[in-house]
Amino acid sequence: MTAALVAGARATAADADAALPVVALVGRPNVGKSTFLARASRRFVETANAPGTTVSLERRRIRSRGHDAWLVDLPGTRSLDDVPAGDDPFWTLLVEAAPDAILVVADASDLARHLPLVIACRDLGLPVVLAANLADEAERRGLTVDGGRLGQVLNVRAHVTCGREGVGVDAAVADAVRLAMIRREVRAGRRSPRSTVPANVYPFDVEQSLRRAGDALSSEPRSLGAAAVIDPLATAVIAGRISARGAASIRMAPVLDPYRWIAAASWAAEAEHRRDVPEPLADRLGRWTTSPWPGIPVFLGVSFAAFLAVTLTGGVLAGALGAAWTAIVSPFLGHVVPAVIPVPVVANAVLWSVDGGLLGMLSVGIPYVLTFYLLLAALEDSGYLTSAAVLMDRLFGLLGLPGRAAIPVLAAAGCNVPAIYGTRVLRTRRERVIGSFVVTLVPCSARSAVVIAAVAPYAGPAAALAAFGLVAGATVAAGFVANAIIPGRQMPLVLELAPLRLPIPRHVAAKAWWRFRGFVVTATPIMLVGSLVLGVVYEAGWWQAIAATIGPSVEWALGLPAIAGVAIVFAFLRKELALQLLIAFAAIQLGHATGLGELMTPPQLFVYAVVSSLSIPCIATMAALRGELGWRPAAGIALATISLALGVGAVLARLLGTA
Amino acid sequence: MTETRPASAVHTLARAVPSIALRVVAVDPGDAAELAREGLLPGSLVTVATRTPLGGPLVVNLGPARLALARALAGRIVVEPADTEPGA
Repeated sequence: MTAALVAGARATAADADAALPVVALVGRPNVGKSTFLARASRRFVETANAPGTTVSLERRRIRSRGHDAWLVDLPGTRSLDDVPAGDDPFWTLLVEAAPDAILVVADASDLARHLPLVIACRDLGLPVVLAANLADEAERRGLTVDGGRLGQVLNVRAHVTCGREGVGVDAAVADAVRLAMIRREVRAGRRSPRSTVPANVYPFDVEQSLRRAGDALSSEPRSLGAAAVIDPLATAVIAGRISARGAASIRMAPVLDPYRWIAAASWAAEAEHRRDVPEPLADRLGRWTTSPWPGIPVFLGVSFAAFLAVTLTGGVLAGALGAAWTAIVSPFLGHVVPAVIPVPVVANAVLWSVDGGLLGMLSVGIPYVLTFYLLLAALEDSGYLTSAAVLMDRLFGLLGLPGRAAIPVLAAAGCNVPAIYGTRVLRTRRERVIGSFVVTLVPCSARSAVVIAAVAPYAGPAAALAAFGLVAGATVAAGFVANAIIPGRQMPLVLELAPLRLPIPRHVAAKAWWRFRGFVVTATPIMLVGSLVLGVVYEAGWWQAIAATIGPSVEWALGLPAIAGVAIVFAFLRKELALQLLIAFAAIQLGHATGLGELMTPPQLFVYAVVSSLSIPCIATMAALRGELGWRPAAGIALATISLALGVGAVLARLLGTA
Repeated sequence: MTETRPASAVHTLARAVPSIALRVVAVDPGDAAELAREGLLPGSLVTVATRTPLGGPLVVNLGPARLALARALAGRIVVEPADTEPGA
């Protein structure tokens, strides 16, 4: 009864929600759209592009001058047929959002390059409102935009706005909501359409072919039959999700674009008033960051600072949180869990999970992941990432990666998981696959600790350094090979440099927190279950059976004792435990506590360190790979790392004479 | 790898001297769509701002915007000095 009532109430609420007008927010990258959205909806939330096959559109319910409406945020795009995120062209996202009006956010400093998108949106037949945003930056460049004149020449409602200070944002949104409501009424037959005369952009013959293309698109299924290849544009037209002329204007973009750009240039000139001012500091700094001097030293400085910030802050925080946990929570759990679960083996396995697993989460998650996300958000919002991308493009081009891959690859030295999410800064799926592969091979802080602890005390610091060099060499070689064998080729760089801006702290914090929440939700269950499995295998003594099975192959291939193989396999669940596990296994097998030095010779330890650093990424990394790329690439990357680790290990073992 | 070298009389953006105003004459059909999205079309006025070392990308001024272009791609963009008559 109550359930039925609740369901009923939900349905009514859903109906009311569906009846609200929808305004889509469209704009080129770097127009300050997310700040604009934050102002419009009074909330700072992550708005970065969501790559992958499922692109979720973020809808925000807003209240504008007494009217409720949905504001749908769309990824930054350069044209309607551009592919800004994942694999879908932008127009499919727009159609999915089913807007009643479009609010286009443009850069007031550069209207000539931003108005073509406005014209393209207007060709869709939807009401369009223009926000000439970043008016403050334009003013600093000596440019004033006449909003009234701009609206006149474009024949759309135009507002001059400044998202950072919130100037004009509410008025622009209110205008868009009003037009969206009118369109709803017209579609529902409650209001007669108001005819508008669009400004002339195309010559007569182009308009004619646009009409013919529209007719062809709306009749396509009849002429081709059901078995024919489905044209997504035609499908959208038939379903009534887009007008025939709108669909034709997307199809004919290559023909229409030159006219749009010419019209945009002359209209922009009509609405702009320029005066001579000295070059703003931000623009001068922007120029410097891409010139070899001082650009390259600045890049090295920023990279090193980022590396230090993540590893040092991470290390300090991890130590402090770990100490607090072992001092306060661990003893408590150590008392409670055995009291609740009377079977010692089960109780211990559960302790592995809730005590060890959560501790692992706490000492990796907050220190490394959150620190990195804060840094990444600040770098993204500052616009510096694109400068770094330009400087590093040549170098990373050898691996089939664009220069912007430098940031996630460096971050991987802290923790691979946020670095894999960080590969979202890459544009194509191919780049993300190669980038993620390279990231998983970069030793994270946990694996670096294993390499140092296994090699340095027994073979000296120079050997530890050599191990890192070897891992780095293998990583570069693997990236090189991946670039050669993964189908497709790297797109040549075409990138608009973002102007340098001071990040808004609240925005940075909100963005980092939003991503961090995603990490916690994904990784915590995996860490808990993984640790439980590890606990069961350990406490029940099953690892001995596994050692007996894989032992001979490990000895033959890598020249390592069987339990070293088991430790490498189970380090998949908790990478930072690769050494502790090994020592624990050895103690049980030998019947007394032992050191690594007694268990393996220095050359064997060297092989062990390199193999466990290169082999299969940890389970949290695997989950991140699967989430970002899907099962197949994730499995492919895992297999590739195992093969690489075994290959390098086997060669090393033979060179060092241990196998 | 074979590369069709433009005739010596034809100037490409890759070989342009920084800070000289240039007009785009032609782009490679394969690059046209991507460049059009950035607003770089035949007729656009550009100047080379920076050339990164070791064959890295060029940074090109296009109005107030700055565009980074791979050197190979810039080598397929034909330009002429902006002070000449178009098509002269």
